[in-house]
Amino acid sequence: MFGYVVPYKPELRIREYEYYKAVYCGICLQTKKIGNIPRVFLNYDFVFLYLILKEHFNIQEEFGTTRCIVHPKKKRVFVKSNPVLEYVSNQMIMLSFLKLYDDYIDEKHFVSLCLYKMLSLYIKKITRHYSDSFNKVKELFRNQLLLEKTECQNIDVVAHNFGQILAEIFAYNDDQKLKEIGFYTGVWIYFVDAIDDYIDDVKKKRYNCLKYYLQRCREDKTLFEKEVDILKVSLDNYLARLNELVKGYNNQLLDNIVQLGMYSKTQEVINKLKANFFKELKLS
Amino acid sequence: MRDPYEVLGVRKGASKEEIKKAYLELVKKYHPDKFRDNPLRELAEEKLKEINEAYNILMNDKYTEYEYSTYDETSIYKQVRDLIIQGNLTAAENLLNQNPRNEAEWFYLMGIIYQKRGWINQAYRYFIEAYSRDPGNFEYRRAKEQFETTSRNYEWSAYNRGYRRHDDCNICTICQIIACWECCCDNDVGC
Repeated sequence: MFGYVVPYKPELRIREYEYYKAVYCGICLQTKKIGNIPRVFLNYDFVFLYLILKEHFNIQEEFGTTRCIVHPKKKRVFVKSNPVLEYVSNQMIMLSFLKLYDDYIDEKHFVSLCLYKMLSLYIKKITRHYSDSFNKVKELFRNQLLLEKTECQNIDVVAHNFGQILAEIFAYNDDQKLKEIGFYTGVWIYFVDAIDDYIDDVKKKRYNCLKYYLQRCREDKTLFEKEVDILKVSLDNYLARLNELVKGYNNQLLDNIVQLGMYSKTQEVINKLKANFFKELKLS
Repeated sequence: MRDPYEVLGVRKGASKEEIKKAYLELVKKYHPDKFRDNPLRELAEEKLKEINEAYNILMNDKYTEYEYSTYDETSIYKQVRDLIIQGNLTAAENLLNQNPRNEAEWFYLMGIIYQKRGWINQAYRYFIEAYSRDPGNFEYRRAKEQFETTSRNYEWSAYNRGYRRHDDCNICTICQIIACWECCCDNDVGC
């Protein structure tokens, strides 16, 4: 997960914003119980996961205030520990663990290896409870790695594999609706990440699943516009389905994330690609 | 969209003369002039739009032709359609892959299979291909446009929730603001 799933701040109510921050702090403090190192991997996507699960299982929350090392000056409000919060925090550690391994294989970064080794100390403690789903996710991660290594040209194959990873992570208690929400979120994240990184990846000659579609547009502006339109329409369709699923929870904050946050993010990465595609790639 | 024959109230496979006659009658019935100062006006306009659309589709030769040309029973596409209805998507895909991809129908059916699996991007690409090969076919067009409508609706819901683009502040709004200030000054209320 990469921190793409965020609310659109200008349209957020102040209480919603405060609550959002409280959840973020809550996950951070929950993770602290396991260890301080995993706290570095905290990101906003997991707040979304928490919000979905909380609405789905109708969890009653309690709040507390505390000072912490990142914000020493002012007391912060946080969500007190509950089963869903614990689940989210554990999933976060699990996913970062697998992602670090992936990074290490991919780029042979020494730092990733160190972090990976450190996290593996914690991982056994966590995965005891979710060994089934952990193994499934691990399998899917391996598959993902294989697809990327063999330079899979079909963007859907890669994106949908990633969608399944998130489906597995969202599916607390193996719930079908949550699985679907996770799936569409995952596919969307993968697409947006691929668009966002496209120019960088081409420059550094890394794998990007859009390469097959966009490479042939380098000389042809109308073809490029067409490709971008197809991407945009597909992304909107994924989001529309996600929106249908999330709407049922009747939560303004979730609606903001799905209808505005994810929409403006899509817009943002596509505009960035449009602005830089011909400029940057000519130089390389 | 509803079945165009149903919208015009004619039987399937009606001749062009019959369709035209039915169309003219309906237009007379729902003409907006008749509904001036009437609360039903909007409803009538919508109805008229639907009627016009249905008429255009039916007057397109390819559509009627398509309706008439039923598959022969042994046709590969007929088999694929049956498999899709039964929900056996893998078998349908295999069967399609055994055949050369040179007809619009091939791309359309492949699109349906992918759509059922939730592979939206791929499905949309197949529908575009089918449509570009046979733009007159109502079924292909509808499949393709369905995606575009969903996309527009989603964008619209985002827009309605208050997400505006940042380039809203253009020269026009600046002029408006200045004009408003001017008003205040004239009345000795403001500055």
